[in-house]
Amino acid sequence: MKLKPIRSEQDHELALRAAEALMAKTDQASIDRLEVLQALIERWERDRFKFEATSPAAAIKFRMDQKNLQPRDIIPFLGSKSRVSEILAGQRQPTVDQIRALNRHLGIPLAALVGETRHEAPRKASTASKAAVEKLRTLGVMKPGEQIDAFLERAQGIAPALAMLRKSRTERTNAKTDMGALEAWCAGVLVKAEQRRLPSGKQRKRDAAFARSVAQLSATPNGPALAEEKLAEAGVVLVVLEHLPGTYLDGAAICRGDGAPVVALTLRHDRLDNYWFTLLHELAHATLHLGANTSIILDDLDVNSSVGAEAEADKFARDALIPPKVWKKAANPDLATETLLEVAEEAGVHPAVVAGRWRWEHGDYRRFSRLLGRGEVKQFFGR
Amino acid sequence: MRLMGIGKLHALATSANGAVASAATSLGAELVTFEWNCADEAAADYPNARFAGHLIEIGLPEDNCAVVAVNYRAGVALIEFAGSCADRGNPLNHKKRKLA
Repeated sequence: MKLKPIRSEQDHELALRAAEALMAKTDQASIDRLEVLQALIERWERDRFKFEATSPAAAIKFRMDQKNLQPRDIIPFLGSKSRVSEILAGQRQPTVDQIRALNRHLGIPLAALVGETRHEAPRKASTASKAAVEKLRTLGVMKPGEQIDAFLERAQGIAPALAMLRKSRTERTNAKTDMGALEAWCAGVLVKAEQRRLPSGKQRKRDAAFARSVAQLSATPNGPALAEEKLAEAGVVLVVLEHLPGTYLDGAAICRGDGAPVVALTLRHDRLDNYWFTLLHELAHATLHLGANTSIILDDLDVNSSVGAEAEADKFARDALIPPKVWKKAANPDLATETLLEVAEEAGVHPAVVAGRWRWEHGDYRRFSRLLGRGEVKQFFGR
Repeated sequence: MRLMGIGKLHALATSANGAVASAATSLGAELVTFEWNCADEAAADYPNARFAGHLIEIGLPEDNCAVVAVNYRAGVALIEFAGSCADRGNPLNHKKRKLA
Protein backbone atom coordinates (compact mmCIF):
# COMPACT_ATOMS: atom_id res chain seq x y z
CA MET A 1 0.00 0.00 0.00
CA LYS A 2 1.23 3.45 -0.92
CA LEU A 3 1.35 5.80 2.06
CA LYS A 4 -1.08 8.68 1.64
CA PRO A 5 -3.50 10.72 3.78
CA ILE A 6 -6.68 8.88 4.78
CA ARG A 7 -9.69 10.50 3.16
CA SER A 8 -12.35 7.79 3.24
CA GLU A 9 -13.57 4.77 5.18
CA GLN A 10 -11.99 2.60 2.52
CA ASP A 11 -8.62 4.34 2.93
CA HIS A 12 -8.94 3.86 6.69
CA GLU A 13 -9.67 0.15 6.33
CA LEU A 14 -6.73 -0.33 3.96
CA ALA A 15 -4.42 1.54 6.33
CA LEU A 16 -5.53 -0.63 9.27
CA ARG A 17 -4.86 -3.79 7.28
CA ALA A 18 -1.43 -2.52 6.27
CA ALA A 19 -0.67 -1.67 9.90
CA GLU A 20 -1.86 -5.08 11.06
CA ALA A 21 0.59 -6.76 8.71
CA LEU A 22 3.43 -4.77 10.29
CA MET A 23 2.55 -5.28 13.96
CA ALA A 24 4.86 -8.28 14.43
CA LYS A 25 7.74 -6.84 12.39
CA THR A 26 10.85 -5.49 14.05
CA ASP A 27 13.04 -4.38 11.13
CA GLN A 28 13.62 -0.65 10.87
CA ALA A 29 11.88 -0.20 7.52
CA SER A 30 8.69 -1.80 8.90
CA ILE A 31 8.88 0.23 12.10
CA ASP A 32 9.25 3.45 10.09
CA ARG A 33 6.30 2.54 7.90
CA LEU A 34 4.20 1.54 10.92
CA GLU A 35 4.87 4.85 12.65
CA VAL A 36 3.75 6.82 9.62
CA LEU A 37 0.64 4.65 9.25
CA GLN A 38 -0.16 5.11 12.94
CA ALA A 39 0.04 8.88 12.61
CA LEU A 40 -2.29 8.84 9.60
CA ILE A 41 -4.75 6.46 11.27
CA GLU A 42 -4.75 8.33 14.57
CA ARG A 43 -5.46 11.59 12.80
CA TRP A 44 -8.45 10.04 11.01
CA GLU A 45 -9.81 8.28 14.09
CA ARG A 46 -9.32 11.13 16.55
CA ASP A 47 -12.17 13.21 15.15
CA ARG A 48 -14.52 10.33 14.46
CA PHE A 49 -14.40 8.18 17.58
CA LYS A 50 -14.90 10.27 20.69
CA PHE A 51 -15.34 8.32 23.90
CA GLU A 52 -17.67 9.65 26.57
CA ALA A 53 -15.90 10.44 29.81
CA THR A 54 -16.02 7.52 32.21
CA SER A 55 -16.49 8.03 35.96
CA PRO A 56 -13.57 7.77 38.39
CA ALA A 57 -15.39 4.85 40.04
CA ALA A 58 -15.60 2.96 36.74
CA ALA A 59 -11.93 3.59 35.97
CA ILE A 60 -10.91 2.33 39.42
CA LYS A 61 -13.17 -0.73 39.20
CA PHE A 62 -11.81 -1.63 35.77
CA ARG A 63 -8.22 -1.48 37.03
CA MET A 64 -9.16 -3.49 40.12
CA ASP A 65 -10.72 -6.17 37.90
CA GLN A 66 -7.66 -6.33 35.69
CA LYS A 67 -5.26 -6.54 38.64
CA ASN A 68 -7.44 -8.88 40.75
CA LEU A 69 -7.64 -6.30 43.53
CA GLN A 70 -10.18 -6.30 46.33
CA PRO A 71 -11.55 -3.08 47.89
CA ARG A 72 -9.29 -3.65 50.90
CA ASP A 73 -6.24 -3.54 48.59
CA ILE A 74 -6.88 0.09 47.70
CA ILE A 75 -7.44 1.33 51.25
CA PRO A 76 -3.81 2.58 51.42
CA PHE A 77 -4.52 4.84 48.44
CA LEU A 78 -7.95 6.09 49.50
CA GLY A 79 -7.65 6.18 53.26
CA SER A 80 -10.27 3.96 54.83
CA LYS A 81 -12.75 1.20 54.12
CA SER A 82 -15.67 3.61 54.17
CA ARG A 83 -13.89 6.04 51.83
CA VAL A 84 -13.25 3.18 49.38
CA SER A 85 -16.94 2.26 49.48
CA GLU A 86 -18.04 5.84 48.90
CA ILE A 87 -15.71 6.36 45.96
CA LEU A 88 -16.48 3.01 44.32
CA ALA A 89 -20.19 3.74 44.72
CA GLY A 90 -19.70 7.10 43.01
CA GLN A 91 -20.88 8.95 46.11
CA ARG A 92 -17.62 10.80 46.49
CA GLN A 93 -14.97 12.03 44.07
CA PRO A 94 -11.35 11.16 44.85
CA THR A 95 -9.23 14.00 46.22
CA VAL A 96 -6.11 15.26 44.48
CA ASP A 97 -3.90 13.19 46.77
CA GLN A 98 -6.01 10.09 46.20
CA ILE A 99 -5.90 10.68 42.44
CA ARG A 100 -2.14 11.03 42.61
CA ALA A 101 -1.81 7.80 44.61
CA LEU A 102 -4.11 5.82 42.29
CA ASN A 103 -2.28 7.09 39.22
CA ARG A 104 1.16 6.45 40.66
CA HIS A 105 0.55 3.06 42.22
CA LEU A 106 -2.08 1.53 39.94
CA GLY A 107 -1.47 3.39 36.68
CA ILE A 108 -5.06 4.63 36.36
CA PRO A 109 -5.08 7.53 33.88
CA LEU A 110 -5.38 10.95 35.50
CA ALA A 111 -8.10 12.07 33.08
CA ALA A 112 -10.25 9.07 34.00
CA LEU A 113 -9.80 9.75 37.70
CA VAL A 114 -10.72 13.40 37.40
CA GLY A 115 -13.98 12.50 35.62
CA GLU A 116 -16.70 14.99 34.85
CA THR A 117 -17.17 18.15 36.89
CA ARG A 118 -19.30 17.46 39.91
CA HIS A 119 -20.20 19.54 42.91
CA GLU A 120 -19.47 18.16 46.35
CA ALA A 121 -20.54 19.56 49.66
CA PRO A 122 -17.65 21.12 51.56
CA ARG A 123 -16.08 18.79 54.08
CA LYS A 124 -16.10 19.45 57.77
CA ALA A 125 -12.92 20.97 59.14
CA SER A 126 -10.43 18.31 60.26
CA THR A 127 -9.38 18.25 63.87
CA ALA A 128 -6.35 16.07 63.13
CA SER A 129 -3.88 18.93 63.21
CA LYS A 130 -5.16 20.05 66.60
CA ALA A 131 -4.68 16.53 67.91
CA ALA A 132 -1.19 16.46 66.44
CA VAL A 133 -0.28 19.71 68.17
CA GLU A 134 -1.58 18.40 71.47
CA LYS A 135 0.56 15.29 71.12
CA LEU A 136 3.69 17.32 70.31
CA ARG A 137 3.08 19.28 73.50
CA THR A 138 2.62 16.06 75.45
CA LEU A 139 5.87 14.69 74.04
CA GLY A 140 7.64 17.85 75.13
CA VAL A 141 8.80 18.74 71.62
CA MET A 142 6.88 22.01 71.52
CA LYS A 143 7.62 24.56 74.22
CA PRO A 144 4.84 25.25 76.74
CA GLY A 145 2.52 27.87 75.30
CA GLU A 146 4.22 27.81 71.90
CA GLN A 147 1.83 28.13 68.95
CA ILE A 148 2.13 25.76 65.99
CA ASP A 149 3.11 28.51 63.53
CA ALA A 150 5.91 29.68 65.79
CA PHE A 151 7.04 26.08 66.28
CA LEU A 152 7.14 25.44 62.52
CA GLU A 153 9.06 28.66 62.00
CA ARG A 154 11.56 27.58 64.65
CA ALA A 155 12.02 24.22 62.95
CA GLN A 156 12.38 25.81 59.55
CA GLY A 157 15.14 27.98 60.95
CA ILE A 158 16.97 24.77 61.88
CA ALA A 159 16.47 23.17 58.47
CA PRO A 160 15.03 24.95 55.46
CA ALA A 161 14.25 21.45 54.11
CA LEU A 162 10.98 21.62 56.02
CA ALA A 163 9.66 24.16 53.55
CA MET A 164 10.05 21.57 50.79
CA LEU A 165 7.57 19.26 52.48
CA ARG A 166 4.62 21.25 51.22
CA LYS A 167 5.81 20.68 47.67
CA SER A 168 6.71 17.04 47.93
CA ARG A 169 5.09 13.70 48.53
CA THR A 170 7.03 10.50 48.28
CA GLU A 171 6.04 7.08 47.00
CA ARG A 172 5.20 5.82 50.44
CA THR A 173 2.98 8.36 52.04
CA ASN A 174 -0.50 7.15 52.83
CA ALA A 175 -3.38 8.84 51.01
CA LYS A 176 -5.15 9.60 54.28
CA THR A 177 -2.14 11.46 55.64
CA ASP A 178 -2.89 14.81 57.27
CA MET A 179 -0.24 17.03 55.73
CA GLY A 180 -0.48 19.51 58.60
CA ALA A 181 0.30 16.76 61.09
CA LEU A 182 3.07 15.44 58.87
CA GLU A 183 4.69 18.85 58.70
CA ALA A 184 4.46 19.17 62.47
CA TRP A 185 6.05 15.72 62.92
CA CYS A 186 8.96 16.60 60.61
CA ALA A 187 9.41 19.86 62.51
CA GLY A 188 9.51 17.88 65.75
CA VAL A 189 12.15 15.55 64.29
CA LEU A 190 14.31 18.49 63.22
CA VAL A 191 14.01 20.17 66.60
CA LYS A 192 15.11 16.93 68.30
CA ALA A 193 17.86 16.31 65.72
CA GLU A 194 19.28 19.76 66.33
CA GLN A 195 19.97 18.78 69.94
CA ARG A 196 22.13 15.78 68.96
CA ARG A 197 25.87 16.27 68.70
CA LEU A 198 27.82 14.09 66.32
CA PRO A 199 31.32 12.91 67.26
CA SER A 200 34.10 14.96 65.69
CA GLY A 201 36.80 13.32 63.60
CA LYS A 202 36.69 11.06 60.62
CA GLN A 203 33.31 9.49 59.94
CA ARG A 204 32.79 5.89 58.93
CA LYS A 205 31.82 5.27 55.34
CA ARG A 206 28.13 4.46 54.96
CA ASP A 207 28.31 1.39 52.75
CA ALA A 208 26.88 -2.13 52.73
CA ALA A 209 29.48 -3.35 55.24
CA PHE A 210 28.52 -0.55 57.64
CA ALA A 211 24.84 -1.41 57.21
CA ARG A 212 25.62 -5.06 58.03
CA SER A 213 27.40 -4.01 61.21
CA VAL A 214 24.35 -1.96 62.21
CA ALA A 215 22.04 -4.89 61.44
CA GLN A 216 24.11 -7.24 63.60
CA LEU A 217 23.51 -5.03 66.61
CA SER A 218 20.03 -6.54 66.61
CA ALA A 219 21.52 -9.68 68.13
CA THR A 220 22.66 -7.78 71.21
CA PRO A 221 20.30 -7.25 74.16
CA ASN A 222 20.32 -3.45 73.93
CA GLY A 223 20.81 -3.29 70.16
CA PRO A 224 18.13 -0.63 69.47
CA ALA A 225 19.90 1.79 71.79
CA LEU A 226 23.38 0.93 70.48
CA ALA A 227 22.26 1.72 66.93
CA GLU A 228 22.12 5.39 67.82
CA GLU A 229 25.85 5.48 68.64
CA LYS A 230 26.70 3.35 65.64
CA LEU A 231 24.88 5.66 63.24
CA ALA A 232 26.57 8.67 64.83
CA GLU A 233 29.97 7.13 63.92
CA ALA A 234 28.91 7.51 60.30
CA GLY A 235 27.58 11.03 60.75
CA VAL A 236 23.93 10.01 60.90
CA VAL A 237 21.58 11.36 63.56
CA LEU A 238 18.95 8.95 64.88
CA VAL A 239 15.76 10.50 66.19
CA VAL A 240 12.79 8.66 67.62
CA LEU A 241 9.56 10.62 67.66
CA GLU A 242 6.19 8.94 68.06
CA HIS A 243 3.84 9.31 65.14
CA LEU A 244 1.11 11.93 65.48
CA PRO A 245 -2.60 11.51 64.79
CA GLY A 246 -2.91 11.58 61.01
CA THR A 247 0.73 10.96 60.07
CA TYR A 248 0.73 7.20 59.30
CA LEU A 249 4.49 6.95 59.23
CA ASP A 250 7.12 4.36 60.05
CA GLY A 251 10.07 6.59 59.44
CA ALA A 252 11.79 9.25 57.41
CA ALA A 253 15.15 10.40 56.19
CA ILE A 254 15.65 14.16 56.45
CA CYS A 255 18.59 16.51 55.90
CA ARG A 256 19.46 18.60 58.95
CA GLY A 257 20.39 22.24 58.43
CA ASP A 258 24.13 21.40 58.55
CA GLY A 259 23.63 18.68 55.93
CA ALA A 260 23.82 15.77 58.38
CA PRO A 261 21.35 13.04 57.44
CA VAL A 262 18.69 12.33 60.05
CA VAL A 263 17.06 8.92 60.31
CA ALA A 264 13.75 9.37 62.09
CA LEU A 265 11.57 6.54 63.40
CA THR A 266 8.08 6.54 64.89
CA LEU A 267 8.18 3.02 66.42
CA ARG A 268 4.44 2.89 65.77
CA HIS A 269 4.47 -0.93 65.68
CA ASP A 270 6.93 -1.32 68.60
CA ARG A 271 8.33 -4.58 67.25
CA LEU A 272 11.96 -5.53 66.77
CA ASP A 273 11.49 -6.72 63.19
CA ASN A 274 9.81 -3.46 62.20
CA TYR A 275 12.42 -1.38 64.04
CA TRP A 276 15.42 -2.98 62.32
CA PHE A 277 13.91 -3.02 58.86
CA THR A 278 12.76 0.60 59.08
CA LEU A 279 16.10 1.70 60.50
CA LEU A 280 18.04 0.06 57.67
CA HIS A 281 15.54 1.27 55.06
CA GLU A 282 15.92 4.87 56.21
CA LEU A 283 19.70 4.45 56.45
CA ALA A 284 19.60 3.41 52.79
CA HIS A 285 17.72 6.60 51.91
CA ALA A 286 20.16 8.65 53.97
CA THR A 287 23.06 7.00 52.16
CA LEU A 288 21.77 6.71 48.63
CA HIS A 289 19.01 9.22 48.07
CA LEU A 290 19.16 12.32 50.25
CA GLY A 291 20.83 15.19 48.47
CA ALA A 292 20.48 18.67 47.08
CA ASN A 293 17.23 17.84 45.29
CA THR A 294 15.76 15.49 47.89
CA SER A 295 15.89 16.70 51.44
CA ILE A 296 12.96 14.73 52.90
CA ILE A 297 11.87 11.13 52.26
CA LEU A 298 8.85 9.86 54.20
CA ASP A 299 7.83 6.25 54.53
CA ASP A 300 4.68 4.42 55.46
CA LEU A 301 6.04 0.92 54.94
CA ASP A 302 2.52 -0.51 54.97
CA VAL A 303 2.17 1.05 51.51
CA ASN A 304 3.84 -1.20 48.98
CA SER A 305 6.09 0.37 46.44
CA SER A 306 8.22 -1.07 43.69
CA VAL A 307 9.34 2.32 42.50
CA GLY A 308 13.05 3.24 42.06
CA ALA A 309 14.43 4.61 45.31
CA GLU A 310 11.94 2.70 47.48
CA ALA A 311 12.77 -0.64 45.89
CA GLU A 312 16.47 0.16 46.22
CA ALA A 313 16.11 1.03 49.91
CA ASP A 314 14.07 -2.14 50.53
CA LYS A 315 16.78 -4.29 48.95
CA PHE A 316 19.55 -2.48 50.83
CA ALA A 317 17.74 -3.14 54.12
CA ARG A 318 16.91 -6.77 53.31
CA ASP A 319 20.47 -7.63 52.26
CA ALA A 320 22.01 -5.82 55.23
CA LEU A 321 19.81 -7.71 57.67
CA ILE A 322 20.07 -11.14 56.07
CA PRO A 323 22.57 -11.69 53.24
CA PRO A 324 20.84 -13.31 50.21
CA LYS A 325 22.94 -16.47 50.52
CA VAL A 326 21.79 -16.98 54.11
CA TRP A 327 18.18 -16.06 53.35
CA LYS A 328 17.93 -18.91 50.84
CA LYS A 329 17.85 -21.30 53.78
CA ALA A 330 14.82 -19.52 55.26
CA ALA A 331 12.84 -19.06 52.05
CA ASN A 332 11.00 -22.35 52.63
CA PRO A 333 7.20 -21.86 52.98
CA ASP A 334 7.17 -24.53 55.71
CA LEU A 335 10.03 -23.02 57.66
CA ALA A 336 10.48 -24.63 61.07
CA THR A 337 11.17 -22.47 64.12
CA GLU A 338 14.43 -24.35 64.68
CA THR A 339 15.65 -23.51 61.16
CA LEU A 340 14.56 -19.91 61.60
CA LEU A 341 16.71 -19.64 64.71
CA GLU A 342 19.67 -21.20 62.90
CA VAL A 343 19.32 -18.72 60.05
CA ALA A 344 19.17 -15.83 62.53
CA GLU A 345 22.33 -17.10 64.18
CA GLU A 346 24.13 -17.50 60.87
CA ALA A 347 23.09 -13.99 59.80
CA GLY A 348 24.07 -12.65 63.20
CA VAL A 349 20.71 -10.97 63.75
CA HIS A 350 17.80 -11.22 66.18
CA PRO A 351 15.30 -13.99 65.27
CA ALA A 352 12.61 -11.28 64.97
CA VAL A 353 14.37 -10.04 61.83
CA VAL A 354 14.09 -13.44 60.14
CA ALA A 355 10.54 -13.98 61.38
CA GLY A 356 9.40 -10.56 60.15
CA ARG A 357 10.87 -11.08 56.70
CA TRP A 358 9.45 -14.59 56.37
CA ARG A 359 5.96 -13.35 57.31
CA TRP A 360 6.16 -10.49 54.83
CA GLU A 361 7.54 -12.57 51.97
CA HIS A 362 4.96 -15.32 52.45
CA GLY A 363 2.04 -13.04 53.28
CA ASP A 364 1.39 -15.24 56.31
CA TYR A 365 1.01 -13.06 59.39
CA ARG A 366 -0.10 -15.82 61.73
CA ARG A 367 3.20 -17.69 62.08
CA PHE A 368 6.12 -16.71 64.28
CA SER A 369 4.15 -13.88 65.91
CA ARG A 370 5.78 -14.63 69.26
CA LEU A 371 9.24 -14.15 67.79
CA LEU A 372 8.72 -10.58 66.60
CA GLY A 373 9.85 -8.86 69.77
CA ARG A 374 6.60 -7.02 70.43
CA GLY A 375 6.92 -4.25 72.98
CA GLU A 376 10.71 -4.58 73.05
CA VAL A 377 11.73 -1.35 71.29
CA LYS A 378 10.08 1.67 72.90
CA GLN A 379 11.62 0.80 76.26
CA PHE A 380 14.99 1.94 74.88
CA PHE A 381 13.71 5.34 73.78
CA GLY A 382 11.70 6.59 76.70
CA ARG A 383 12.92 10.15 76.50
CA MET B 1 1.07 3.39 23.55
CA ARG B 2 0.02 5.17 20.40
CA LEU B 3 -3.29 3.60 19.40
CA MET B 4 -4.91 2.55 16.15
CA GLY B 5 -8.19 0.84 15.43
CA ILE B 6 -10.07 2.52 18.27
CA GLY B 7 -13.23 2.36 16.15
CA LYS B 8 -13.80 -1.22 17.33
CA LEU B 9 -13.49 -0.23 20.98
CA HIS B 10 -15.66 2.83 20.38
CA ALA B 11 -18.35 0.69 18.75
CA LEU B 12 -18.41 -1.56 21.81
CA ALA B 13 -18.47 1.40 24.20
CA THR B 14 -21.44 2.99 22.43
CA SER B 15 -23.45 -0.15 21.77
CA ALA B 16 -23.04 -2.05 25.03
CA ASN B 17 -24.60 -1.52 28.45
CA GLY B 18 -23.08 0.38 31.38
CA ALA B 19 -20.47 -2.05 32.70
CA VAL B 20 -19.17 -3.12 29.29
CA ALA B 21 -19.24 0.44 27.96
CA SER B 22 -17.33 1.74 30.98
CA ALA B 23 -14.76 -1.03 30.67
CA ALA B 24 -14.24 -0.38 26.96
CA THR B 25 -13.82 3.33 27.61
CA SER B 26 -11.46 2.68 30.52
CA LEU B 27 -9.40 0.28 28.45
CA GLY B 28 -9.01 2.85 25.67
CA ALA B 29 -7.88 5.48 28.20
CA GLU B 30 -5.44 3.07 29.82
CA LEU B 31 -3.83 1.82 26.63
CA VAL B 32 -2.93 5.38 25.67
CA THR B 33 -1.16 5.98 28.98
CA PHE B 34 0.75 2.71 29.33
CA GLU B 35 4.19 2.45 27.77
CA TRP B 36 5.47 -1.08 27.33
CA ASN B 37 8.82 -2.17 26.01
CA CYS B 38 8.05 -5.89 26.17
CA ALA B 39 5.24 -8.34 26.84
CA ASP B 40 6.31 -8.74 30.48
CA GLU B 41 5.58 -5.08 31.14
CA ALA B 42 2.15 -5.45 29.52
CA ALA B 43 1.52 -8.58 31.59
CA ALA B 44 2.26 -6.63 34.77
CA ASP B 45 -0.58 -4.24 33.90
CA TYR B 46 -2.94 -6.96 32.64
CA PRO B 47 -2.09 -10.09 34.63
CA ASN B 48 -5.31 -11.85 33.57
CA ALA B 49 -4.80 -11.26 29.85
CA ARG B 50 -3.80 -14.00 27.40
CA PHE B 51 -0.61 -13.39 25.47
CA ALA B 52 0.40 -14.96 22.17
CA GLY B 53 3.33 -13.37 20.39
CA HIS B 54 2.47 -9.73 19.81
CA LEU B 55 -1.23 -10.26 20.59
CA ILE B 56 -2.96 -9.62 23.90
CA GLU B 57 -6.51 -10.71 24.67
CA ILE B 58 -7.92 -8.61 27.50
CA GLY B 59 -11.09 -9.76 29.20
CA LEU B 60 -13.99 -7.33 29.57
CA PRO B 61 -17.22 -7.76 31.59
CA GLU B 62 -20.00 -10.09 30.50
CA ASP B 63 -17.84 -12.35 28.36
CA ASN B 64 -16.51 -9.60 26.14
CA CYS B 65 -12.90 -9.08 25.24
CA ALA B 66 -10.50 -6.93 23.28
CA VAL B 67 -7.63 -8.26 21.20
CA VAL B 68 -4.77 -5.82 20.98
CA ALA B 69 -1.74 -6.22 18.71
CA VAL B 70 1.33 -4.50 20.10
CA ASN B 71 4.55 -3.55 18.38
CA TYR B 72 6.72 -2.88 21.43
CA ARG B 73 9.59 -1.48 19.42
CA ALA B 74 7.42 1.13 17.72
CA GLY B 75 5.35 1.79 20.86
CA VAL B 76 2.19 1.23 18.84
CA ALA B 77 -0.96 -0.77 19.64
CA LEU B 78 -3.72 -1.80 17.27
CA ILE B 79 -7.17 -2.83 18.51
CA GLU B 80 -7.88 -5.85 16.31
CA PHE B 81 -11.12 -6.84 17.97
CA ALA B 82 -13.51 -5.63 20.65
CA GLY B 83 -16.79 -7.39 21.42
CA SER B 84 -18.28 -10.67 22.53
CA CYS B 85 -15.70 -13.41 22.94
CA ALA B 86 -18.11 -15.73 21.15
CA ASP B 87 -18.11 -13.46 18.09
CA ARG B 88 -14.42 -12.84 17.86
CA GLY B 89 -13.67 -15.79 15.58
CA ASN B 90 -10.83 -16.50 17.96
CA PRO B 91 -8.24 -14.25 16.31
CA LEU B 92 -5.73 -15.14 19.00
CA ASN B 93 -5.78 -18.83 18.10
CA HIS B 94 -5.81 -17.96 14.43
CA LYS B 95 -2.72 -15.80 14.91
CA LYS B 96 -1.05 -18.50 16.96
CA ARG B 97 -1.36 -20.88 14.07
CA LYS B 98 -0.16 -18.21 11.67
CA LEU B 99 2.85 -17.44 13.87
CA ALA B 100 3.68 -21.12 14.26
